[in-house]
Amino acid sequence: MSRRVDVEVGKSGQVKIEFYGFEGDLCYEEAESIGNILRTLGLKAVPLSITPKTQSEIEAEVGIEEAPRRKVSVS
Amino acid sequence: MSHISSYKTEIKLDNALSAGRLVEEDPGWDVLNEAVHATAEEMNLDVTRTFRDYYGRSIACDWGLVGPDIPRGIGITVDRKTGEVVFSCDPYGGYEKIAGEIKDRVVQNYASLCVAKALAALNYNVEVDEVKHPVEGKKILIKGVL
Repeated sequence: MSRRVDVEVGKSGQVKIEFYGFEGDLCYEEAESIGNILRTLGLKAVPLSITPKTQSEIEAEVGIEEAPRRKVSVS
Repeated sequence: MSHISSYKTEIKLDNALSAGRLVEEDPGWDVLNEAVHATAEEMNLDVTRTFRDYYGRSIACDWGLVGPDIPRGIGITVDRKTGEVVFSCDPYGGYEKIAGEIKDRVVQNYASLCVAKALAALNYNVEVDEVKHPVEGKKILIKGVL
């Protein structure tokens, strides 16, 4: 699955970022990288909330893997 | 795992200053210039180098935004010592609302430009879209795909 970052910038510059398709803690590392670049551009982003996605939300993103199919002989 | 995070943002052009250079050399200076001009285009304003007070006195600033709805204008100045971005206007006579809207739009455009540039620097393919929310006003949506 490809990685995706959706960002919504509100009226007075409030930013909401949603990460899709990142394994493990990679999304937190990516958030840090984005934050570092924003700082070099003069935009300080102060976290208001950080909400990990639930297992069901992650499964909905990546799709539940199907169980491996078994060959059955038909005679 | 993936997650959702929310941030409040503040503009401060202090990177060049902390390296002993002029604030005009800060990477954010050009971004702010772009954000001001984008705001002017969206809100039908002119970009100037001054704004006026109630008595008609002209006050110098780095960027001024003037239009029919705010004839005295609003001034944007970057503090040469701290890099703080200051929005100033004389709101007497009922100009508080439009001045606040202009400020919010400049900050929103600045944040959006920074986010799009940050994602592009990390090699994302970036798409920018706008939606108008009936209560919360304009929202800028930026999608980055790796």
